[in-house]
Amino acid sequence: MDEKGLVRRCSAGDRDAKQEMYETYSGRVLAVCRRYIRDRDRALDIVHDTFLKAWASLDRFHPWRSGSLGAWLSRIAVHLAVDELRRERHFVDELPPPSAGMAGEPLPAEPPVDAGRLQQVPVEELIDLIASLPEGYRTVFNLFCLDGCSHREIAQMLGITEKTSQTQYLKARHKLAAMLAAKYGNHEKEQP
Amino acid sequence: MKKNNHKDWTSVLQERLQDATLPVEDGWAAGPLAAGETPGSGPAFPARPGRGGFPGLPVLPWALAGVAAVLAAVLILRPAHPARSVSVREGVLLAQRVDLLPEAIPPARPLRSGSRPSTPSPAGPAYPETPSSGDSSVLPSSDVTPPSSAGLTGESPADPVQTEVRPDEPGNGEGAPRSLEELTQDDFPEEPAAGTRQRRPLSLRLQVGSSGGAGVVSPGRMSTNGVMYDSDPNGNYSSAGYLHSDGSVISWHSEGQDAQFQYDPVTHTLYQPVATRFSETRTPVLPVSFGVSAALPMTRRLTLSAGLAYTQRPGTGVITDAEPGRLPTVVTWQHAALHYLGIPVDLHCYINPDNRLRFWVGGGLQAEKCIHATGAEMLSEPVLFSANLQAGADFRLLRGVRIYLSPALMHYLNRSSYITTWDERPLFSLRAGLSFDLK
Repeated sequence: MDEKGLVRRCSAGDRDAKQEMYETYSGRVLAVCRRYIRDRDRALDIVHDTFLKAWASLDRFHPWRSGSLGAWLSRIAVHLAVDELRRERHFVDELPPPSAGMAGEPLPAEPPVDAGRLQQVPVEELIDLIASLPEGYRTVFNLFCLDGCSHREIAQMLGITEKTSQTQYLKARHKLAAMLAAKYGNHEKEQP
Repeated sequence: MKKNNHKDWTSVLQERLQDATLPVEDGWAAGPLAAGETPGSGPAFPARPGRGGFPGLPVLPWALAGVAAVLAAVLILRPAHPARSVSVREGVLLAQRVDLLPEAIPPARPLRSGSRPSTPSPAGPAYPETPSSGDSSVLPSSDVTPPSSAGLTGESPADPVQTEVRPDEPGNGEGAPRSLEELTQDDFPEEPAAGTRQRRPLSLRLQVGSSGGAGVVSPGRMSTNGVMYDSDPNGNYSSAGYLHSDGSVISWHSEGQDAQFQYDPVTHTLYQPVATRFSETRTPVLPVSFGVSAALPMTRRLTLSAGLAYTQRPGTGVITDAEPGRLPTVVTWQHAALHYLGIPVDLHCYINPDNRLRFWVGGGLQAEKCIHATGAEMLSEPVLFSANLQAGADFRLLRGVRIYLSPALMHYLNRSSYITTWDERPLFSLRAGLSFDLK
């Protein structure tokens, strides 16, 4: 069924349509939530909240503005996950003072990551790797690199400065590159 | 090769994770959603913070409900037995049938003119007889009252009612007493009887005004086609603009990481930038409204009115999305004109209801539905509700024709699907029109 029809049926309170939407998109939403929330049960809670929020706001969904239904649900999930993190102030404590980072201590060169090798890595492993980042790093990295938010937007959402967001992103990127390089190596490096 | 791999690993990560899915073993059946925690049927329209919200019901039920409410008000408030004046014939018959008790009749006033002596008999009725009346009775208009009035009991057809003639009373001739048959309708006052209400005319109002307020939007001029370029591998955006809630562009960055997005705190949705490459052209626009309504006087001071109103709101921006799935995507800004059909229901309280120049205060509600969009996509917009506070004045030009002017403050209770500014804040509204009393 096309998305419009599914949304229309859900708007009319069709329980089967809601189930269909849930079963179609819950995996994608869970993937988004797991990138932010390490604990799977908490991530599942966010998934449920996402669908509840979406069903209560279906009249706000317009394909021409909101993109695909999956993308719309993912954006809702992102914000619910960030709200959850912000509420528990998990990441704020981990954020370094604004003076640290690029301006203070230059980061070492980023370990090389084999992009071709990354194509072979199962998605679950990639998500687990991202989820294993410290929450501050993880949140900023997800928002900036994977969910398309600007540093200004991130700063507004998390209550930090843009500079802190930029620093966190660079550090997260550096750390994740190191983890990827360590786990999956570098083909060119491995070759004699 | 190595350099390319190093540069693009985040892009690969984006591609791999963009549509990634994880198995949800618990699934629907085990989740709380299937256990009855799902919202009720139908969409719950999310209210903005600090605002009320209404379900996005279709306009037809509301229209029918409004019409039904007005009809019910008419049926309930309309007098079951409208007060009516006593016709001449009824007055004659009445006067012929009543028997005035002597003690209920006030003493006759001394005659101001004429030579007839007043010789009240202690045993007789306390009013003088008219020598020339014969078996016809002559009643002063002021003494004729409907049967429900005190002092009129019983009947004595054989005892003709006679009383003095007061030449100075309205409706009487110059000193000439008149028989019952000679009385006219004017001799019987149209005062409503106790317990009944006077019929008030339904009036028809033709109205023109600006019911949407002086919303200011910033349509701007796009120096490009409104395309916001796609992100670079680091997620930066080459250009973006941001439309503030009052219609002004609060930031513009041609490149870098400074793109801003509208954030909806209710749905936690990031909206795309709603405009690109704005010039600071701000065009005040005035929505124009035409309407017709029927006003029903409920009491002497209160009037309930309901009708239809057409409103056109120009200068509305609309964004379109050509690349679903990413945030942000391609956006454009368009000029648009939105056409709304509304059902206003107003209640007016007249401060001085009996004057030629009357003032009123009041309030009202209006339900509006977008029926057409020019230069924009037609969206499945919910019914918009607005409340207003009014003050106004009308002036009677002719009998049954009044002209009125009414400033008002109105506030939209829920939000348009279009990117607009006129639903953001209380708006000033000015209405003027003509009112015609319907007999």
